[in-house]
Amino acid sequence: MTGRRFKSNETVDFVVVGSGAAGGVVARELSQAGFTVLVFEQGPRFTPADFEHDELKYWFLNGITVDPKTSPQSFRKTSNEVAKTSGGFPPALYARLVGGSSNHFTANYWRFHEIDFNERSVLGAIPGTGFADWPITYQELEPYYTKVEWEVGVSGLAHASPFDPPRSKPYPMPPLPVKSSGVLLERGARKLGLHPFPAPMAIASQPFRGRPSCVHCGFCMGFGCEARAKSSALYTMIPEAEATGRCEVRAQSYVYHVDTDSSGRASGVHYFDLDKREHFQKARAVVLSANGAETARLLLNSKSSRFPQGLANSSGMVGKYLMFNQGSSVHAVFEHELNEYKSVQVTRILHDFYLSDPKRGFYGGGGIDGRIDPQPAIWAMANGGELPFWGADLKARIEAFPRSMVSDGHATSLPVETNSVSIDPTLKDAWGIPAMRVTYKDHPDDVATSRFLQDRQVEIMHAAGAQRVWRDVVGENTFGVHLLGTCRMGNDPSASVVDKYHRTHDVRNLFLCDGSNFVTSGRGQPTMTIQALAFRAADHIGQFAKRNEI
Amino acid sequence: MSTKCPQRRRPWDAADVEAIASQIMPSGATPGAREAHAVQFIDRALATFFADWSADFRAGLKDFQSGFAAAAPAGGTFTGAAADAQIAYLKTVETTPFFASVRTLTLLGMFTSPKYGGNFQGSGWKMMGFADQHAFTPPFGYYDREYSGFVPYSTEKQA
Repeated sequence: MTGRRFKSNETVDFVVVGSGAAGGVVARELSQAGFTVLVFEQGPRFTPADFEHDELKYWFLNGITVDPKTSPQSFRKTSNEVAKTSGGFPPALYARLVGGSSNHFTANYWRFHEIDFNERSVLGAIPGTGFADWPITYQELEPYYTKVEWEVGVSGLAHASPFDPPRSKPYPMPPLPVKSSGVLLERGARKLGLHPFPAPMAIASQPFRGRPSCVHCGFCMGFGCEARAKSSALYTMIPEAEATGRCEVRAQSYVYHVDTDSSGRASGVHYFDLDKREHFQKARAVVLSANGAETARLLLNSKSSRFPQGLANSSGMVGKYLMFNQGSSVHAVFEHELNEYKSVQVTRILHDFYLSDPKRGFYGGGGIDGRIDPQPAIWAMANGGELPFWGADLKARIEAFPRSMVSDGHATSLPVETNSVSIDPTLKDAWGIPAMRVTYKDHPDDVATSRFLQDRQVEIMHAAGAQRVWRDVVGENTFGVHLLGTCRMGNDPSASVVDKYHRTHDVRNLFLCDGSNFVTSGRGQPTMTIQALAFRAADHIGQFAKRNEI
Repeated sequence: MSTKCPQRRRPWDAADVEAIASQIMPSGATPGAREAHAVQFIDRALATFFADWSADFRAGLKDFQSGFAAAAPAGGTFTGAAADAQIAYLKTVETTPFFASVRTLTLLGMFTSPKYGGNFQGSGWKMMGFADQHAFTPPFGYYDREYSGFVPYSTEKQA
């Protein structure tokens, strides 16, 4: 481990809470711009050799994800229910270690399209939702998408999709080698007149900025990359931040309260170290990049007499408009072997159904990919819908594993005010801090969109020559891995939490930068946009600091 | 890794659990739950990392056993019943939480790492055709081997 070590009484220029996709970028950009940066991460720091191909541990025993035993979360569908904890996945599922969820993500790195930023103006209001335009445009974000591709590392083929938004540069690396799932998705989709294309992935297809290329081990989704080929913050932004000599990443340090001084400015953060000892860290400015659920919780838990509703919450909007992205799965079996357990999850996608079409009778759009989900036990356990779930039929399905694939649809979630992160009235975590309560019920249009996409996925798999096709149930989400929208960005301080530069409307030196700032959900695969926003935010925050405007 | 099941007293009847697991994932030309030692995984899971499930599991098993005894005209245990009778009874309980937990544990016991006591000698992975290897090189399968390359679309904007 390299980097600066700050003394306990030192005041740093920036405290960044969270070391993941966004926090890593913010830390790297601000430290390279000459500021001192202290990054807090509640989880441990792994070396590549610490990551294991242990499906039970990573998917069922919270190997690197938030542990419901120590960090419980409660869930309810609507606000008239009493939220409960369950034995399953926590409702806001994220990885808890240096690099955050960028360690275990699948690494799908689509850019959002122009329409994602101004869809409300194009389509009009949707009653019962907070559907709104973003205060920024795709054009404003484009240079930062390019920065993600070139500095974090994305493999792909520019201009391959006729629906792609404009770009200023090609990808720095070619697409990863196509898998049989990609070939079959492409075959079926082309037969139907659709436009599949090589999937942009944040995984190195060739040696890149000191990292080796992918070894095709197949353990991406849910796992950390021991080859360092996945462009996780742990391998990209974090070491570059530390190399400046101005950045410290303080692991196993859990920030639970942001303090403000008598003038209403953020003065620092309270945190627990590994031994649950409490500390206070002073800072000139604070950036929260704790993820789209924990950032909201931290603000709501940072109440004071001056901020009785929680910090930066004069609008009452903190925690509201949570969006998970809807999804749909289709299973297919083919004549010959695909061996989908090898290599990255996704090599072909299509965006023909990206746009919302009023003729369908509901709002929404999405992308479709070819893949498998993801490793032997999880794949074998898939049930629901039309899948055989025990006995000889299940065994026959499992024996066809090498000849099997999955197509996933990734779709919009409308921003609904009652879908939210709030503080559970009674539940506390192992540190005695009030726990997160998630309230979530998909908007009917979100479910309708996923069913629409699933019909298209079935058609594509049949057109590709599948011998057998099954659907999973498209149901209402009870947990999410895309944690979006709880501190939305906007020009109106009464209807949003941060301005277009990620500065909170209420506290001049407090910035929020992660999935929480999303105004709409995109069509899945949010991390690319989270990082583009982080590059843009850090650019502006650094300029404000240099001009003494913080 | 020891290939022997440690002999210790279980707080539940392993024979019936193994019989259910064997109907969920039957033996045959390829290994099933029995050959993969799924019940040994279940034993270890409920004693250690899934100890939280243990009370519900035991209660569920008790209900399952009494339900079977009540439904079976000839009486006797689930384990002792003919395969057809076992399958017929399981169909009546396949939506219960107990059945779901046996199913989950059986599949985890067949397809997760052998170090947890199941998937004996990788038999589950062999049955499904999964290769436990840390690196692969393309081509990965039949269809990508014969792929001739991505053909670009004509340049006109579609929508």
